[in-house]
Amino acid sequence: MPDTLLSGSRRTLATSPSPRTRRSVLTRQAAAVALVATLAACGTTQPDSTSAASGSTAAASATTTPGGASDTPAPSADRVGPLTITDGWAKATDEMMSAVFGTLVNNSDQALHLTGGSCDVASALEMHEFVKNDAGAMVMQRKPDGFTIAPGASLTLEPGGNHLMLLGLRAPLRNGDPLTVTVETNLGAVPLTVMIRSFDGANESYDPSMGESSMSHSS
Amino acid sequence: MLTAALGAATAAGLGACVSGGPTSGSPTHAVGAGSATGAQSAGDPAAGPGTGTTPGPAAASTAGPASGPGAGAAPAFRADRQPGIWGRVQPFAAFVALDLAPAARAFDVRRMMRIWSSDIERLMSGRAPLTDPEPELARHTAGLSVTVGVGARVVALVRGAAATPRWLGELPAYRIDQLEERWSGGDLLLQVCADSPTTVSHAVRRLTVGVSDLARVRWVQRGFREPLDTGEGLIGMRNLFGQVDGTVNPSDESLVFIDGQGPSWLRHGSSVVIRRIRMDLQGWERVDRLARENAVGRRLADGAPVTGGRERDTPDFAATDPLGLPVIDDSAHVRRAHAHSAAEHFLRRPYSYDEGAPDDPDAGLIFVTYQADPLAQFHPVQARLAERDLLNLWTTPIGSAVFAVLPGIGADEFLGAALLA
Repeated sequence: MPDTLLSGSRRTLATSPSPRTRRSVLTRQAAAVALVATLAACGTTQPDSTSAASGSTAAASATTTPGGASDTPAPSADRVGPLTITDGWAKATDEMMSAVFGTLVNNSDQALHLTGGSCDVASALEMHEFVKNDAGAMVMQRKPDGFTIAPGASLTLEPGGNHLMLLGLRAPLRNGDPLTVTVETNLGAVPLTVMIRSFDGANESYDPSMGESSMSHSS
Repeated sequence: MLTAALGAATAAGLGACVSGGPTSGSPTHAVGAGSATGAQSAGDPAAGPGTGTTPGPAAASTAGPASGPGAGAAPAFRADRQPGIWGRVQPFAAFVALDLAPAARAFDVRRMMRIWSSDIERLMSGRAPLTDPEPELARHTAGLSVTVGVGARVVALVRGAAATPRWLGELPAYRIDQLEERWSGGDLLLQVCADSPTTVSHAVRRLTVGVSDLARVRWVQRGFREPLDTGEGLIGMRNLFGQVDGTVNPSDESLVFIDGQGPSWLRHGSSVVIRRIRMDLQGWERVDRLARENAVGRRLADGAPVTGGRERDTPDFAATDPLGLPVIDDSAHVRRAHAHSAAEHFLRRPYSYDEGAPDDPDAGLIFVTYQADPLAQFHPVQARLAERDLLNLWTTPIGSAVFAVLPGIGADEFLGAALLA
């Protein structure tokens, strides 16, 4: 069954104490990425298989959609975009860093190359992986070439594994709020909306003492 | 101190409220839109074991299908009404009251409801919540239902104090009450019920940990009950005094759910009263069988009135013995709890609790009732029992809380959508 928790998020934006931040996320994305679907994703779609459609729209036509797009009905299955995220969530935090997890699905018939991305409340979005370093320890590092997902395949993002790293957060990510990030791909920019959730597990992912050298957070 | 609530609970089981009430007659299948629990009364699990009690339609509404744990359709999360009210009653439950953080605002309620909606929907469909570190525990739903209620503070935060229903708050004080803070009140309620205690435990942990930055757990009450399928047939619901309990319920859904008579944000919602009734098992131990039956006005074996007949037959309150004394004691529970009008009926969904040791019992009943208006339906019966009821000698209310039970939700909504609209 569809999980539509983010419905009504626009209303939240209006009443939230930090509405400016959130609203700007939406507006800018709407303008920048064509985002009928971003708004649709936030407003009416299903966060657990979130923002699917957004991508499609974005990829299909990079043209800007006029305002009022947020009232667009939830896209139907035949309009699913090239990249969707299921079970997506971002870790709530008051710190400067966080990450997005979930299962990225390539719905297209081409290899999907995720090269980067952005988020309005972060200075940078990077693709990260966990690898074993020379000392045999698992360390997190930027994946310079990004992620590639074969046609029809999926990529799991999880604590202690691959993830979309958010750096330089300018606002707290609050438990229960929606968050939209935009992922750059060879098929276009795709907005993905997930729910922010508090999470205490797998803290190693966020241990600031964990080898700054191995974390190329150049930005 | 004495217990009215237990009284009421027992009344249910003992059928005190049956006669003349909406329970008699019409079939009571779980037909509520929000309760796709598939309750079919294939028998009368509520009837005491080994008794010849006739299956009654009223039993079906709580006892549900005469089938074991896990049987029947799964409770539905997205429906007009929340699950866990009408329909089959699962044998294990936890009631969790939470308090919002002191500085909480309306948007915090919205965040909680988004989180709970996501997690509850996933748990009820066998999918782990998004941040679940023990996803294997979510694989089997075990008939899980989670029901969410809100207290007066939440309504005031979201819609202003003036929007709070007059019944949403503390019940009137009853002289039998010895209420303890640790079992009373709360801003939010989770009722978590399932056929597996592990499922209940896991759901409670996820739903409370997931919002621990937004709300603090105020109290948790864990309970158990029948009907339970042992594989050798069903065991009917009895309380720890051995009384057939909590089995008689209204067939009239309008007594349970709020329709046109309440605020729009509660349409298809309800109210729940949760009273913790300590039962004096040691004192009861010393009461002989005849006195036990006299206290209640019903036979222990089958729950039938001491004036004869079957469990669901109307007690003959006018009957006298050869000496001219009433057969049903003037202070018998069945007499005091007997509904004086059709409005004095409500849905009983009680669970037993037993937290103590044999020589230091801490046991009793988590008396749970659903009704459209607690003051109009629950209170008159409770007040009468508080005034006089032989069972009060062995029972004491030690906790009390009232919550507004949110309506169910549609495909594009999260819990509380109407409240927060």
